[in-house]
Amino acid sequence: MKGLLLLILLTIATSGFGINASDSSGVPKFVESQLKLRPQLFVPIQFAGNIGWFSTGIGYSAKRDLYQLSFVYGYVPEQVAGIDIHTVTARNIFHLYRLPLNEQSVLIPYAAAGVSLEVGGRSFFTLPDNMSPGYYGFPKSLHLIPAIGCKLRRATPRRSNLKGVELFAEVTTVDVYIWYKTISREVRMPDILSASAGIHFFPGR
Amino acid sequence: MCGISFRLFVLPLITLLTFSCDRPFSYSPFEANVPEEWRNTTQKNLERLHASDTSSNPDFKVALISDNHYHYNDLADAVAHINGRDDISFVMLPGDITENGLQTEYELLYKVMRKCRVPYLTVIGNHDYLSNGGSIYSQIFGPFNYTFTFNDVKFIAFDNVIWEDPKEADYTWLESALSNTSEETGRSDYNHKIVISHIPPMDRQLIAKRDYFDSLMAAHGVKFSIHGHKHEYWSSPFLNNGITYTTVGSPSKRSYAVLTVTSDSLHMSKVDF
Repeated sequence: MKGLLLLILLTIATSGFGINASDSSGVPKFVESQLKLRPQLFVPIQFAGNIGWFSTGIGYSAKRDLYQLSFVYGYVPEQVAGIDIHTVTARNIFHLYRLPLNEQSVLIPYAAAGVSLEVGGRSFFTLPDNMSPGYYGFPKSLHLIPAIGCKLRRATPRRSNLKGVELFAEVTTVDVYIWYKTISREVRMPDILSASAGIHFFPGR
Repeated sequence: MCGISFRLFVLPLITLLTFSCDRPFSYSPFEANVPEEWRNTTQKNLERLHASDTSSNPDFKVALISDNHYHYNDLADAVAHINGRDDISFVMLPGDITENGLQTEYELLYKVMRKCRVPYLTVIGNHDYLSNGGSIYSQIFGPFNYTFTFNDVKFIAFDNVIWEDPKEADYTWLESALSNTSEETGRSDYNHKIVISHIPPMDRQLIAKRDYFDSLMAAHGVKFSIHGHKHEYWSSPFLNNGITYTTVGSPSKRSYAVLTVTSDSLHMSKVDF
Protein backbone atom coordinates (compact mmCIF):
# COMPACT_ATOMS: atom_id res chain seq x y z
CA MET A 1 0.00 0.00 0.00
CA LYS A 2 2.77 2.41 0.88
CA GLY A 3 4.53 1.60 -2.37
CA LEU A 4 1.38 2.28 -4.35
CA LEU A 5 0.95 5.60 -2.60
CA LEU A 6 4.46 6.64 -3.38
CA LEU A 7 4.05 5.61 -6.99
CA ILE A 8 0.86 7.65 -7.36
CA LEU A 9 2.45 10.62 -5.67
CA LEU A 10 5.55 10.53 -7.80
CA THR A 11 3.47 10.17 -10.95
CA ILE A 12 1.42 13.23 -10.06
CA ALA A 13 4.44 15.23 -9.04
CA THR A 14 6.27 14.59 -12.25
CA SER A 15 3.28 15.01 -14.54
CA GLY A 16 2.10 18.13 -16.35
CA PHE A 17 1.13 19.88 -13.15
CA GLY A 18 4.26 18.77 -11.43
CA ILE A 19 7.40 20.63 -10.63
CA ASN A 20 9.60 18.87 -13.08
CA ALA A 21 7.41 19.65 -16.08
CA SER A 22 9.24 21.70 -18.62
CA ASP A 23 7.91 25.16 -19.37
CA SER A 24 6.10 25.64 -22.62
CA SER A 25 5.50 28.79 -24.55
CA GLY A 26 2.46 30.71 -23.45
CA VAL A 27 2.97 30.12 -19.76
CA PRO A 28 2.58 33.45 -18.01
CA LYS A 29 5.41 34.86 -16.04
CA PHE A 30 4.70 34.02 -12.48
CA VAL A 31 0.93 34.37 -12.18
CA GLU A 32 1.44 34.58 -8.48
CA SER A 33 0.74 38.30 -8.92
CA GLN A 34 -2.70 37.57 -10.41
CA LEU A 35 -3.66 35.08 -7.78
CA LYS A 36 -2.25 37.04 -4.91
CA LEU A 37 -3.57 40.52 -5.36
CA ARG A 38 -7.26 39.97 -6.09
CA PRO A 39 -9.92 37.95 -4.34
CA GLN A 40 -10.37 34.75 -6.29
CA LEU A 41 -12.98 32.08 -6.50
CA PHE A 42 -11.76 28.55 -6.87
CA VAL A 43 -13.15 25.07 -7.19
CA PRO A 44 -11.66 22.55 -4.73
CA ILE A 45 -11.66 18.83 -5.35
CA GLN A 46 -10.32 16.67 -2.53
CA PHE A 47 -9.73 13.00 -1.90
CA ALA A 48 -10.06 11.73 1.70
CA GLY A 49 -9.17 13.92 4.68
CA ASN A 50 -12.11 12.98 6.96
CA ILE A 51 -14.55 15.09 4.91
CA GLY A 52 -15.46 12.51 2.29
CA TRP A 53 -13.98 9.99 -0.07
CA PHE A 54 -14.50 12.72 -2.58
CA SER A 55 -15.44 16.30 -1.82
CA THR A 56 -15.98 19.37 -3.93
CA GLY A 57 -17.59 22.77 -3.71
CA ILE A 58 -16.53 26.37 -4.05
CA GLY A 59 -13.83 28.38 -2.38
CA TYR A 60 -12.78 31.96 -1.97
CA SER A 61 -9.23 33.15 -1.72
CA ALA A 62 -9.11 36.38 0.25
CA LYS A 63 -7.22 39.47 -0.78
CA ARG A 64 -3.51 39.32 0.01
CA ASP A 65 -3.85 35.57 -0.24
CA LEU A 66 -3.35 34.79 3.41
CA TYR A 67 -6.61 32.95 3.87
CA GLN A 68 -8.96 30.73 1.90
CA LEU A 69 -12.47 29.63 2.78
CA SER A 70 -14.24 26.84 0.97
CA PHE A 71 -17.59 25.12 1.34
CA VAL A 72 -17.58 21.55 0.18
CA TYR A 73 -19.93 18.64 0.00
CA GLY A 74 -18.32 15.30 0.76
CA TYR A 75 -19.54 11.84 -0.05
CA VAL A 76 -18.34 8.40 1.00
CA PRO A 77 -20.04 5.52 -0.82
CA GLU A 78 -21.16 2.44 1.04
CA GLN A 79 -18.64 0.32 -0.84
CA VAL A 80 -15.85 2.35 0.76
CA ALA A 81 -17.17 3.14 4.24
CA GLY A 82 -19.64 0.35 4.83
CA ILE A 83 -22.40 2.94 4.84
CA ASP A 84 -23.28 5.99 2.73
CA ILE A 85 -21.98 9.17 4.36
CA HIS A 86 -22.76 12.74 3.36
CA THR A 87 -21.03 15.74 4.87
CA VAL A 88 -20.91 19.49 4.39
CA THR A 89 -17.74 21.22 5.47
CA ALA A 90 -16.51 24.77 5.81
CA ARG A 91 -12.76 24.68 5.38
CA ASN A 92 -10.55 27.50 6.59
CA ILE A 93 -7.06 27.50 5.14
CA PHE A 94 -4.35 29.74 6.54
CA HIS A 95 -1.26 30.23 4.42
CA LEU A 96 1.80 30.11 6.60
CA TYR A 97 4.60 30.91 4.20
CA ARG A 98 5.30 31.45 0.52
CA LEU A 99 8.26 30.00 -1.23
CA PRO A 100 8.58 30.88 -4.93
CA LEU A 101 10.15 28.00 -6.81
CA ASN A 102 10.35 29.47 -10.27
CA GLU A 103 8.44 31.87 -12.49
CA GLN A 104 5.42 29.62 -12.64
CA SER A 105 5.31 27.98 -9.24
CA VAL A 106 5.14 28.80 -5.59
CA LEU A 107 5.10 26.49 -2.62
CA ILE A 108 2.71 27.34 0.23
CA PRO A 109 2.67 25.47 3.52
CA TYR A 110 -0.63 25.90 5.31
CA ALA A 111 -2.75 24.99 8.29
CA ALA A 112 -6.42 24.25 7.88
CA ALA A 113 -9.43 23.75 10.07
CA GLY A 114 -12.63 22.34 8.68
CA VAL A 115 -15.95 22.40 10.47
CA SER A 116 -17.68 19.30 9.17
CA LEU A 117 -21.28 18.25 9.64
CA GLU A 118 -22.67 14.85 8.78
CA VAL A 119 -26.10 15.16 7.18
CA GLY A 120 -28.68 12.45 6.72
CA GLY A 121 -26.86 9.96 8.89
CA ARG A 122 -27.42 8.46 12.33
CA SER A 123 -25.39 11.06 14.18
CA PHE A 124 -27.32 13.97 15.66
CA PHE A 125 -26.72 17.70 15.98
CA THR A 126 -29.42 18.40 18.53
CA LEU A 127 -30.43 15.93 21.16
CA PRO A 128 -33.20 13.59 19.97
CA ASP A 129 -36.55 14.06 21.64
CA ASN A 130 -36.43 10.70 23.38
CA MET A 131 -33.39 11.65 25.45
CA SER A 132 -33.29 13.66 28.64
CA PRO A 133 -31.95 17.23 28.36
CA GLY A 134 -28.19 17.30 28.73
CA TYR A 135 -27.80 13.55 28.23
CA TYR A 136 -25.03 14.26 25.70
CA GLY A 137 -23.09 17.48 25.88
CA PHE A 138 -21.86 17.90 22.32
CA PRO A 139 -23.42 17.47 18.88
CA LYS A 140 -22.34 14.09 17.56
CA SER A 141 -22.64 15.03 13.89
CA LEU A 142 -20.21 17.96 14.07
CA HIS A 143 -16.45 17.66 14.08
CA LEU A 144 -13.51 19.97 13.70
CA ILE A 145 -11.09 18.58 11.14
CA PRO A 146 -7.62 20.13 11.51
CA ALA A 147 -4.97 19.66 8.84
CA ILE A 148 -1.50 20.73 7.94
CA GLY A 149 -0.26 20.51 4.44
CA CYS A 150 1.59 21.98 1.58
CA LYS A 151 0.32 23.19 -1.75
CA LEU A 152 2.06 23.80 -5.01
CA ARG A 153 0.50 26.72 -6.84
CA ARG A 154 1.23 26.66 -10.49
CA ALA A 155 0.43 29.00 -13.32
CA THR A 156 -1.33 27.61 -16.34
CA PRO A 157 -0.73 28.53 -19.96
CA ARG A 158 -2.39 31.73 -21.20
CA ARG A 159 -4.50 29.81 -23.69
CA SER A 160 -6.07 27.88 -20.83
CA ASN A 161 -9.36 28.85 -19.18
CA LEU A 162 -7.63 28.50 -15.84
CA LYS A 163 -5.48 31.11 -14.18
CA GLY A 164 -3.79 28.50 -12.14
CA VAL A 165 -4.09 25.42 -10.04
CA GLU A 166 -3.04 24.40 -6.59
CA LEU A 167 -2.04 20.82 -5.99
CA PHE A 168 -2.08 19.98 -2.30
CA ALA A 169 -1.41 17.15 0.08
CA GLU A 170 -2.02 17.21 3.79
CA VAL A 171 -2.24 15.27 7.00
CA THR A 172 -5.56 15.45 8.80
CA THR A 173 -7.12 14.31 12.01
CA VAL A 174 -10.34 14.79 13.98
CA ASP A 175 -10.95 16.95 17.05
CA VAL A 176 -11.71 14.12 19.47
CA TYR A 177 -8.70 12.11 18.30
CA ILE A 178 -6.43 14.98 19.34
CA TRP A 179 -8.07 14.97 22.75
CA TYR A 180 -7.52 11.22 23.07
CA LYS A 181 -3.89 11.56 22.00
CA THR A 182 -3.37 14.40 24.46
CA ILE A 183 -4.57 12.40 27.45
CA SER A 184 -3.45 8.91 26.51
CA ARG A 185 -0.08 7.32 25.93
CA GLU A 186 -1.94 4.38 24.39
CA VAL A 187 -2.92 6.51 21.39
CA ARG A 188 -0.12 6.84 18.86
CA MET A 189 0.15 9.51 16.20
CA PRO A 190 -0.34 7.00 13.36
CA ASP A 191 -3.61 5.96 15.05
CA ILE A 192 -5.11 9.40 14.54
CA LEU A 193 -3.47 10.79 11.39
CA SER A 194 -4.34 10.16 7.80
CA ALA A 195 -3.46 11.70 4.48
CA SER A 196 -5.45 13.49 1.86
CA ALA A 197 -4.75 15.21 -1.42
CA GLY A 198 -6.57 17.47 -3.82
CA ILE A 199 -6.51 20.29 -6.25
CA HIS A 200 -7.88 23.82 -6.41
CA PHE A 201 -8.82 25.14 -9.83
CA PHE A 202 -8.76 28.92 -10.32
CA PRO A 203 -11.04 29.59 -13.28
CA GLY A 204 -10.98 32.64 -15.52
CA ARG A 205 -8.27 34.56 -17.15
CA MET B 1 15.78 24.35 -9.29
CA CYS B 2 13.93 21.19 -10.22
CA GLY B 3 15.93 19.15 -7.76
CA ILE B 4 15.28 21.66 -5.02
CA SER B 5 11.59 21.74 -5.89
CA PHE B 6 11.40 17.99 -5.76
CA ARG B 7 12.99 17.91 -2.38
CA LEU B 8 10.84 20.76 -1.10
CA PHE B 9 7.50 19.46 -2.27
CA VAL B 10 7.53 15.78 -3.01
CA LEU B 11 9.81 14.52 -0.28
CA PRO B 12 7.90 16.21 2.57
CA LEU B 13 4.68 14.79 1.16
CA ILE B 14 6.15 11.34 1.02
CA THR B 15 7.30 11.77 4.61
CA LEU B 16 3.88 12.97 5.70
CA LEU B 17 2.10 10.11 3.97
CA THR B 18 4.50 7.52 5.31
CA PHE B 19 4.13 8.97 8.80
CA SER B 20 0.39 8.62 8.62
CA CYS B 21 0.29 5.23 7.00
CA ASP B 22 -1.34 3.16 9.76
CA ARG B 23 -4.53 3.71 7.83
CA PRO B 24 -3.36 5.95 5.00
CA PHE B 25 -6.68 7.53 4.14
CA SER B 26 -9.63 8.31 6.36
CA TYR B 27 -12.75 9.39 4.54
CA SER B 28 -14.93 10.23 7.51
CA PRO B 29 -14.96 9.75 11.27
CA PHE B 30 -18.34 8.06 10.69
CA GLU B 31 -16.95 5.20 8.60
CA ALA B 32 -18.26 1.74 9.45
CA ASN B 33 -16.05 -0.57 7.47
CA VAL B 34 -14.19 -2.82 9.86
CA PRO B 35 -11.03 -4.61 8.72
CA GLU B 36 -11.37 -8.36 8.34
CA GLU B 37 -8.90 -9.15 11.13
CA TRP B 38 -11.10 -7.45 13.77
CA ARG B 39 -14.27 -9.31 12.86
CA ASN B 40 -15.90 -12.07 14.90
CA THR B 41 -13.94 -11.07 17.97
CA THR B 42 -16.58 -12.43 20.35
CA GLN B 43 -16.59 -15.78 18.59
CA LYS B 44 -12.79 -15.94 18.61
CA ASN B 45 -12.69 -15.14 22.32
CA LEU B 46 -15.40 -17.68 23.11
CA GLU B 47 -13.35 -20.34 21.35
CA ARG B 48 -10.36 -19.41 23.50
CA LEU B 49 -12.56 -19.43 26.58
CA HIS B 50 -14.09 -22.81 25.85
CA ALA B 51 -10.63 -24.23 25.39
CA SER B 52 -9.94 -23.33 29.03
CA ASP B 53 -13.28 -24.57 30.40
CA THR B 54 -12.63 -26.76 33.44
CA SER B 55 -16.06 -27.88 34.55
CA SER B 56 -14.48 -30.33 36.98
CA ASN B 57 -13.34 -27.34 39.04
CA PRO B 58 -16.30 -24.96 39.03
CA ASP B 59 -14.62 -22.11 40.94
CA PHE B 60 -13.43 -19.22 38.82
CA LYS B 61 -13.18 -15.44 38.68
CA VAL B 62 -14.29 -12.93 36.09
CA ALA B 63 -12.91 -9.40 35.88
CA LEU B 64 -15.34 -6.67 34.84
CA ILE B 65 -14.37 -3.28 33.41
CA SER B 66 -17.14 -0.95 32.33
CA ASP B 67 -17.51 2.48 30.77
CA ASN B 68 -13.93 2.92 29.68
CA HIS B 69 -15.08 5.45 27.04
CA TYR B 70 -11.86 7.27 26.00
CA HIS B 71 -9.86 6.41 29.12
CA TYR B 72 -7.39 4.27 27.20
CA ASN B 73 -4.57 4.65 29.74
CA ASP B 74 -6.82 3.55 32.58
CA LEU B 75 -8.15 0.66 30.55
CA ALA B 76 -4.62 -0.42 29.67
CA ASP B 77 -3.61 -0.17 33.31
CA ALA B 78 -6.58 -2.30 34.34
CA VAL B 79 -5.67 -4.88 31.69
CA ALA B 80 -2.05 -4.86 32.88
CA HIS B 81 -3.24 -5.39 36.46
CA ILE B 82 -5.43 -8.30 35.38
CA ASN B 83 -2.58 -9.75 33.31
CA GLY B 84 -0.51 -9.74 36.49
CA ARG B 85 -2.97 -12.08 38.19
CA ASP B 86 -3.32 -15.76 37.50
CA ASP B 87 -6.83 -16.21 38.88
CA ILE B 88 -8.92 -14.44 36.22
CA SER B 89 -10.56 -16.69 33.64
CA PHE B 90 -11.89 -13.96 31.40
CA VAL B 91 -12.82 -10.28 31.25
CA MET B 92 -16.25 -8.77 30.64
CA LEU B 93 -16.75 -5.23 29.38
CA PRO B 94 -20.39 -4.30 30.14
CA GLY B 95 -20.70 -1.45 27.67
CA ASP B 96 -19.67 2.07 26.74
CA ILE B 97 -16.44 0.79 25.31
CA THR B 98 -16.32 3.91 23.11
CA GLU B 99 -17.24 7.56 23.60
CA ASN B 100 -18.89 8.38 20.28
CA GLY B 101 -19.26 5.02 18.55
CA LEU B 102 -16.56 5.97 16.03
CA GLN B 103 -14.55 3.33 14.22
CA THR B 104 -11.27 4.86 15.37
CA GLU B 105 -12.48 4.60 18.97
CA TYR B 106 -13.33 0.94 18.47
CA GLU B 107 -9.90 0.49 16.91
CA LEU B 108 -8.20 2.07 19.91
CA LEU B 109 -10.17 -0.17 22.27
CA TYR B 110 -9.34 -3.21 20.18
CA LYS B 111 -5.63 -2.41 20.32
CA VAL B 112 -5.66 -2.03 24.10
CA MET B 113 -7.72 -5.20 24.67
CA ARG B 114 -5.43 -7.15 22.35
CA LYS B 115 -2.91 -6.96 25.21
CA CYS B 116 -5.29 -8.82 27.51
CA ARG B 117 -3.88 -12.24 28.32
CA VAL B 118 -7.29 -13.84 28.88
CA PRO B 119 -10.32 -13.74 26.56
CA TYR B 120 -12.62 -10.73 26.78
CA LEU B 121 -16.30 -10.38 25.97
CA THR B 122 -18.43 -7.30 25.56
CA VAL B 123 -21.94 -5.97 25.96
CA ILE B 124 -23.00 -2.96 23.90
CA GLY B 125 -23.61 0.31 25.75
CA ASN B 126 -25.47 3.46 24.85
CA HIS B 127 -22.37 5.36 23.70
CA ASP B 128 -21.39 2.43 21.52
CA TYR B 129 -24.57 2.89 19.49
CA LEU B 130 -23.90 6.55 18.66
CA SER B 131 -23.57 7.47 14.99
CA ASN B 132 -22.80 4.21 13.18
CA GLY B 133 -21.44 2.54 16.29
CA GLY B 134 -24.06 -0.20 16.29
CA SER B 135 -23.00 -1.34 12.85
CA ILE B 136 -19.32 -1.20 13.79
CA TYR B 137 -19.96 -3.10 17.03
CA SER B 138 -21.80 -5.89 15.23
CA GLN B 139 -19.04 -6.14 12.62
CA ILE B 140 -16.33 -6.45 15.26
CA PHE B 141 -18.07 -8.43 17.96
CA GLY B 142 -21.17 -10.03 16.46
CA PRO B 143 -24.71 -10.24 17.87
CA PHE B 144 -25.82 -7.72 20.49
CA ASN B 145 -27.63 -10.44 22.45
CA TYR B 146 -25.80 -13.68 23.06
CA THR B 147 -25.19 -16.34 25.65
CA PHE B 148 -22.30 -18.54 26.59
CA THR B 149 -21.51 -21.02 29.29
CA PHE B 150 -18.34 -21.43 31.28
CA ASN B 151 -17.74 -23.97 34.02
CA ASP B 152 -21.44 -24.73 34.32
CA VAL B 153 -22.48 -21.08 34.57
CA LYS B 154 -24.66 -19.48 31.93
CA PHE B 155 -23.84 -15.88 31.04
CA ILE B 156 -26.48 -13.86 29.19
CA ALA B 157 -25.31 -10.69 27.45
CA PHE B 158 -28.36 -8.53 26.88
CA ASP B 159 -28.65 -5.34 24.83
CA ASN B 160 -31.01 -3.01 26.70
CA VAL B 161 -30.07 0.29 25.00
CA ILE B 162 -33.28 1.94 23.81
CA TRP B 163 -32.53 5.65 23.37
CA GLU B 164 -29.58 5.62 20.99
CA ASP B 165 -31.02 2.69 19.05
CA PRO B 166 -34.75 3.34 19.26
CA LYS B 167 -36.26 -0.06 19.78
CA GLU B 168 -37.76 -2.15 22.49
CA ALA B 169 -35.19 -4.23 24.29
CA ASP B 170 -35.84 -7.82 23.27
CA TYR B 171 -37.24 -9.22 26.50
CA THR B 172 -38.70 -12.14 24.55
CA TRP B 173 -35.16 -13.15 23.63
CA LEU B 174 -34.05 -12.61 27.22
CA GLU B 175 -36.80 -14.85 28.57
CA SER B 176 -35.95 -17.46 25.99
CA ALA B 177 -32.26 -17.26 26.88
CA LEU B 178 -33.10 -17.66 30.54
CA SER B 179 -35.38 -20.63 29.83
CA ASN B 180 -33.52 -22.48 27.12
CA THR B 181 -31.34 -25.41 27.57
CA SER B 182 -27.77 -25.13 26.44
CA GLU B 183 -27.20 -25.94 22.78
CA GLU B 184 -23.85 -27.38 23.75
CA THR B 185 -24.75 -29.48 26.76
CA GLY B 186 -28.50 -29.89 26.44
CA ARG B 187 -28.79 -28.86 30.07
CA SER B 188 -30.86 -26.15 31.68
CA ASP B 189 -29.81 -26.73 35.31
CA TYR B 190 -26.76 -24.53 35.48
CA ASN B 191 -25.03 -23.77 38.73
CA HIS B 192 -25.81 -20.11 38.09
CA LYS B 193 -27.30 -17.83 35.49
CA ILE B 194 -25.86 -14.32 35.27
CA VAL B 195 -27.36 -11.52 33.20
CA ILE B 196 -25.12 -8.71 32.00
CA SER B 197 -26.54 -5.59 30.36
CA HIS B 198 -25.24 -2.05 30.19
CA ILE B 199 -28.05 0.00 31.67
CA PRO B 200 -29.23 -0.98 35.15
CA PRO B 201 -32.97 -1.66 35.30
CA MET B 202 -33.47 1.04 37.92
CA ASP B 203 -32.28 3.70 35.45
CA ARG B 204 -34.96 6.23 34.45
CA GLN B 205 -35.03 5.10 30.82
CA LEU B 206 -35.81 1.51 31.82
CA ILE B 207 -37.97 2.20 34.84
CA ALA B 208 -41.14 1.13 33.02
CA LYS B 209 -39.69 -2.35 32.56
CA ARG B 210 -37.90 -2.62 35.90
CA ASP B 211 -40.43 -4.80 37.64
CA TYR B 212 -40.85 -7.01 34.59
CA PHE B 213 -37.08 -7.43 34.32
CA ASP B 214 -36.89 -8.23 37.99
CA SER B 215 -39.71 -10.76 37.71
CA LEU B 216 -37.83 -12.50 34.89
CA MET B 217 -34.72 -12.69 37.03
CA ALA B 218 -36.67 -14.12 39.94
CA ALA B 219 -38.64 -16.60 37.83
CA HIS B 220 -35.47 -18.07 36.34
CA GLY B 221 -33.36 -18.20 39.45
CA VAL B 222 -30.94 -15.44 38.51
CA LYS B 223 -29.05 -14.24 41.55
CA PHE B 224 -26.79 -11.68 39.93
CA SER B 225 -27.57 -8.96 37.40
CA ILE B 226 -24.52 -6.98 36.29
CA HIS B 227 -24.50 -3.55 34.63
CA GLY B 228 -22.45 -0.47 33.88
CA HIS B 229 -23.53 3.03 32.89
CA LYS B 230 -23.23 4.65 36.33
CA HIS B 231 -19.40 4.74 36.31
CA GLU B 232 -19.41 3.84 40.01
CA TYR B 233 -19.11 0.48 41.67
CA TRP B 234 -22.39 -0.35 43.38
CA SER B 235 -23.83 -3.63 44.53
CA SER B 236 -27.14 -4.10 46.30
CA PRO B 237 -30.11 -6.46 46.62
CA PHE B 238 -32.19 -3.34 46.23
CA LEU B 239 -35.58 -5.03 45.79
CA ASN B 240 -34.88 -7.41 48.67
CA ASN B 241 -35.89 -10.43 46.64
CA GLY B 242 -32.56 -12.23 46.71
CA ILE B 243 -31.26 -10.78 43.44
CA THR B 244 -28.12 -8.68 43.66
CA TYR B 245 -27.91 -5.79 41.20
CA THR B 246 -24.43 -4.52 40.55
CA THR B 247 -22.98 -1.67 38.54
CA VAL B 248 -19.34 -1.92 37.59
CA GLY B 249 -17.26 1.27 37.87
CA SER B 250 -15.25 2.95 35.16
CA PRO B 251 -11.50 2.31 35.03
CA SER B 252 -11.11 6.09 35.16
CA LYS B 253 -11.90 5.62 38.86
CA ARG B 254 -8.88 3.32 38.98
CA SER B 255 -10.83 0.22 39.82
CA TYR B 256 -12.44 -2.79 38.27
CA ALA B 257 -14.65 -5.51 39.70
CA VAL B 258 -14.12 -9.22 40.19
CA LEU B 259 -16.93 -11.75 40.26
CA THR B 260 -15.96 -14.82 42.21
CA VAL B 261 -17.98 -17.89 41.27
CA THR B 262 -18.13 -21.10 43.25
CA SER B 263 -20.53 -23.98 42.83
CA ASP B 264 -22.91 -22.52 45.41
CA SER B 265 -22.08 -18.83 45.65
CA LEU B 266 -21.46 -15.62 43.74
CA HIS B 267 -19.51 -12.76 45.19
CA MET B 268 -18.63 -9.39 43.67
CA SER B 269 -15.76 -7.24 44.89
CA LYS B 270 -14.05 -4.04 43.84
CA VAL B 271 -10.35 -4.08 43.01
CA ASP B 272 -8.35 -0.86 43.04
CA PHE B 273 -5.31 -0.60 40.82
